[in-house]
Amino acid sequence: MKKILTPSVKCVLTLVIIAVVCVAALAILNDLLYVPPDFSAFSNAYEAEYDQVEVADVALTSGKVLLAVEGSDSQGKQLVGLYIESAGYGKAKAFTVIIVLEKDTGIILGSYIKEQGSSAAPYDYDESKLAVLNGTNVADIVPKDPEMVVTGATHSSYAVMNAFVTAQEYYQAVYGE
Amino acid sequence: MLLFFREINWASVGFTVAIMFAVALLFGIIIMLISRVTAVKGADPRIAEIKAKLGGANCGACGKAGCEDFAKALCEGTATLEQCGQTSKENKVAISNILGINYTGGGDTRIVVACSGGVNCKDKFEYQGYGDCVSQQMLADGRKACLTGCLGSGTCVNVCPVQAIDVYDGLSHILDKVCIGCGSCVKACPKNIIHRIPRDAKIYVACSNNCKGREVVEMCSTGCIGCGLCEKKCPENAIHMENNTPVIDYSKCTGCMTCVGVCPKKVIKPLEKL
Amino acid sequence: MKVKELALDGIVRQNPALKLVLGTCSILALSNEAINGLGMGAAVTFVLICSNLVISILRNIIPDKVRIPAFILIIATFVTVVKMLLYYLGSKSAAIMGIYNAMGVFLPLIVVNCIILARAESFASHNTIGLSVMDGLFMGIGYTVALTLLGAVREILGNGSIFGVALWNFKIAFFTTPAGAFMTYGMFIALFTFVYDRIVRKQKLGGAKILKPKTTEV
Repeated sequence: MKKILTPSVKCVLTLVIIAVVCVAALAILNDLLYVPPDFSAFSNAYEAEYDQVEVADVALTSGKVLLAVEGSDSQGKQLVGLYIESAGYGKAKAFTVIIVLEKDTGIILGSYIKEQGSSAAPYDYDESKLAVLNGTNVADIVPKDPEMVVTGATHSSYAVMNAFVTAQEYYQAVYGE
Repeated sequence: MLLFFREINWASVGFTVAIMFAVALLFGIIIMLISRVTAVKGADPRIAEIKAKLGGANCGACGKAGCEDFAKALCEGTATLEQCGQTSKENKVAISNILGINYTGGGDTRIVVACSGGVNCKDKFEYQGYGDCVSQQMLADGRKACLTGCLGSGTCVNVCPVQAIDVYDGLSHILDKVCIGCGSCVKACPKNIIHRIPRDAKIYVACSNNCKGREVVEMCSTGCIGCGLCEKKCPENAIHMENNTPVIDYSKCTGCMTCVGVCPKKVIKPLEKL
Repeated sequence: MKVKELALDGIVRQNPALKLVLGTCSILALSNEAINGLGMGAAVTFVLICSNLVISILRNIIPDKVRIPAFILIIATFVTVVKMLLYYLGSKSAAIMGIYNAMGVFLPLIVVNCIILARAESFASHNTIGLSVMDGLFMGIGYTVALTLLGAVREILGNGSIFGVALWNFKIAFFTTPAGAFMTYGMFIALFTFVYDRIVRKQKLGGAKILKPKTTEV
């Protein structure tokens, strides 16, 4: 036994044992101190309890779905929440928009712009315009409707619209008939 | 406690541990291989032992770059234990045993300034210029009338690593409680009037002049006049006049203070016990 | 008593922030507000105590050649624990989340914080468990006190508030910048050294009176 435990072997063994013990303790502690991810972003659009679901691989033309959640509100309505990064339009770069839809029908229940894209023109974000969309079915969204969302900044408006188009395409591909 | 175990994803824990095991093993082996390749024929193990016994102030008074360097020099034989004023005698004996040499040096020491002049000593001329003692010494041996009188301009203060020297009344005073005994001031003083004496010394001679009688009185009101009363009255025969100044043989001095009492100029002064 | 010696060492005689001047990058970055200083100090103290404890327990087992990787492994483990703890507590309390966000990258940097490695190397690896834990505790306290004071000064001068409570409207923006951090920290060290050296000298002289220096006019 003493022959195997040369100084070199002792060194390597000590390191390995310390490493293994420390990491085992850490891994166990990590699971114990697990903090579930925060979905307050979605609650800002529409108040409900959300759980993360896998983002389906769908061909989208006007943006990306970064995060998808499903949930149910206090009345038991099933919801789908989408965290979308829209493709920019012209001078306006990508917008991050959160859209919450009703799972069965596709009606927009709530939405808001989380992060505005950089844009050449001053940005006049009108929240009431987004609120107007609530109740419309996402399938009825017309791309490039300049009166939606912003005033005096057509490119930004179209960029936001891209997010809605993305939601439309995603919803139809994943939840549609 | 068992309730917790259900929450733990054992598969992921096992996976993490396995990866870490592999990483630690890999790097451990790399370290060992490289240490084999770059192994140096070990440094003298005595160096660490000696260094532990040295005073440890890294004052540099020995002329080396700190205690580690001094220990290395001791092992190589390019330095002697006498050069260190900071290590206790006990440790010096231990170090000599490690080195396998005989320690012949003296015991623990303390530092005194062998002058009591300062404002009591007249100036030959008024000095105007760069104020350091060393620079003043270069100009006609300094401005003091006494050739061995303290110039009080702080060369010793500047070299002291622990600020243990205070200059007041034109004279340097060693603060015994702060002094670490490195001896930098002993070397730095251009008049060579700072001395090492045994740590248990009870008295010291606070004058270094070589003149006698009236000459001294005209220069300095507190200088030794070379009367020799101390030599005559010492019951142990521990004091001898050399060049008109008393020199104490500390191996014989018992601290009876007879010399202190008879000295007309109060040049021999008692020392506080450390 | 040994504990008193260690306490004096950690908080005054060898204060890691003001005397040893170790771990300066974290001091400069986290002294912008008093609460950040407190939070960082608490994290460093926790890691110091735990790593000193474990390293002291293992001090005879770890071979000399692999000291550094072994120490770093142990310290890194505890820093990760602190990170997880802070994030977990932060999810429950906004104040702690604020500290967590303010620490940012300096939380993982505690792994190579000079103070922790220095104490591990120079103290914990040669001393008993009890003493090492005490040393870690007092060094941590010394660091926390220095950092919190520094943070308080910078916050009061640079932001007109203390611990988040607004005091007045007079703000000198310089103190919130890194340059201000350097300057304030430097002033702190200077002030501390000045006061400390004076006190030590007075102590060493045991109350002996030094006559007013009358150096000869040259």
